[in-house]
Amino acid sequence: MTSTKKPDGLTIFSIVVTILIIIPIAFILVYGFAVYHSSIGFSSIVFKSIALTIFSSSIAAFIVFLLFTPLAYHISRLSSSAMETISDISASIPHPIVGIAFLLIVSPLTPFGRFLISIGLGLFDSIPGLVTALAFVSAPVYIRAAQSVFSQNPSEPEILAMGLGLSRIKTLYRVVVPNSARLLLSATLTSMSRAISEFGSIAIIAYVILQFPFAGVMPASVLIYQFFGYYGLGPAVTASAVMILISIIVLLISRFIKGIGNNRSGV
Amino acid sequence: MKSQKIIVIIVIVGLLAVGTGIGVHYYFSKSKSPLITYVADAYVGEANYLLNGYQNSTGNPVSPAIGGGSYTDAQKIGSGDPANVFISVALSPYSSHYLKDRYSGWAIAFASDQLVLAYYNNTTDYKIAMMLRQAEIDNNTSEFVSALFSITNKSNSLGISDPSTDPAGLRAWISLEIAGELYGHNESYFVNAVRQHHANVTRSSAAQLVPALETGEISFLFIYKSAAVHSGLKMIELPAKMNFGDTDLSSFYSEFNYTTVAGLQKGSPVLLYITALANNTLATDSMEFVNYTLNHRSELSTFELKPLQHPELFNDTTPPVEILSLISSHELVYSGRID
Repeated sequence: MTSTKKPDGLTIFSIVVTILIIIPIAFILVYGFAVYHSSIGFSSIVFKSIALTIFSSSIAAFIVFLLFTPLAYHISRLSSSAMETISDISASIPHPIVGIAFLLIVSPLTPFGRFLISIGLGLFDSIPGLVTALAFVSAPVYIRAAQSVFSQNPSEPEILAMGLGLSRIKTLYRVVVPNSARLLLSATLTSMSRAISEFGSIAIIAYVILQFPFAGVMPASVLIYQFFGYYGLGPAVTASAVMILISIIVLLISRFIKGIGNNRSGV
Repeated sequence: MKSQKIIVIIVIVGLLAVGTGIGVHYYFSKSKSPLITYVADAYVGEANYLLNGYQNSTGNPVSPAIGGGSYTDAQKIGSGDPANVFISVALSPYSSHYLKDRYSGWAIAFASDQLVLAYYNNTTDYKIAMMLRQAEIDNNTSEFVSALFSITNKSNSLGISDPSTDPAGLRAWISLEIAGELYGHNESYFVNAVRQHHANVTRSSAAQLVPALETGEISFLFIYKSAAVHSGLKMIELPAKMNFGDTDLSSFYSEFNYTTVAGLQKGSPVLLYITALANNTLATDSMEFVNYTLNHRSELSTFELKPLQHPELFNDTTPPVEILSLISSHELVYSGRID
């Protein structure tokens, strides 16, 4: 016997607003692949640029995972509104400001900038600069997602571990992280998706990379903006469609990883 | 619980009230659409000065000028971005290739500028800049070559904006070609030096490289003089044959060229052009602003621009009657075609 449940008003409204989100993406995909189909949009420059974006975003996401997992755990267990607010700052300021801030920090005008230059670590138009900016802007996305993961976890295993004498940091890495590895990976991939989409800060600090193996390569968002200036809509839309496809794949992997456990647990 | 609900309701109502208030204020205070002007971003300050003067004298609302590389601006306008007036620092962005159905077929040059070399204010870069200036004054070719070579062979130190999006970058590369021809007897001498030593750092416009120069990330920057003065940058002026500031040298500049994504581009003097775009929602206001600009061009000398004694008309089609009347009164001179 099959039961056909009629969608209620809320479901219909949700479908409508979901379609609103899809519309611009669908336009880019249809126009990029079917209408314009510009050869420049499929050129090696675009694929090198996407490779740089994926490379730098994945490193940024990994760094964010390493640095901010303890903070997300701390906030989830011992609520700290000050830390929560601070961790949200980079998400709530216009991102060109982030680029300007890093430009200032690493410049010879500041002692820290002079120190970095003295050890040969220039961030301007470099891979480290690109990764730093991406990590900064994507950190809040990860912290929020990881915080949510930790909050949903039962605290009994942690209490037991600490009762056996483990410190909070050891409990985090020996008990909590292994139990939440799948969902934390999904959160990391979500923050990687955020890094892939970044433009404002990297257009200032890492507009074009000057180092091997990406010398002369622009991050994808910058390249697409440049294509718009160079060639107009066609190549920019086609390159955008290619980039969107990659971003959707990353998001689908993230959802898939998240979904495995849900299916197993019957959720 | 009840107090929480009240607080939430107060916050929501407050936000709605602020949003509605702002909307109502702008709706009633600007019932007429504001004039939208796209401008080469080195000249946003000048454009806003003119726009404010126009607004004060006519009462017509204006939006702050929207800046960008001239070619990028033209692409945006051609792609449908709302715009009424376009002020560029090169003539080719006015072509139908870029502006599509917004192509007006005419543009008027009303002021000139020149390319300079701005430098970061530290001892080393100052010394090189002074060496270049002194060599130019003394007409000492070997010193000039030596100084320019120092600038072009230092890794990641020379700011040149993207020649495909910004005419300042295009003129910078052509200026290096001219320097190579004049001082190194080889047009590619300095261009090759820049490329071999990865000397250049780029952005889509010279204005976007100013923060990098101010923070010392780069040592030198090719930029227009008015923009350098406006930004408070230290700079040295280049020889007339390299600075594109002398309209009498137009034919000399055009002997040199550089290939961008749009094709071969010839050297040309730094002139500031204006047009009222075709298919214009504010056609009358746009023409009024063009006239206002031409009538007040002398005020631009405060920005280190040189107002042209006789503005020059470039046209492929018959210009509007307001422009034709300026021709007949000899306030405007024909200078050639756009395409």
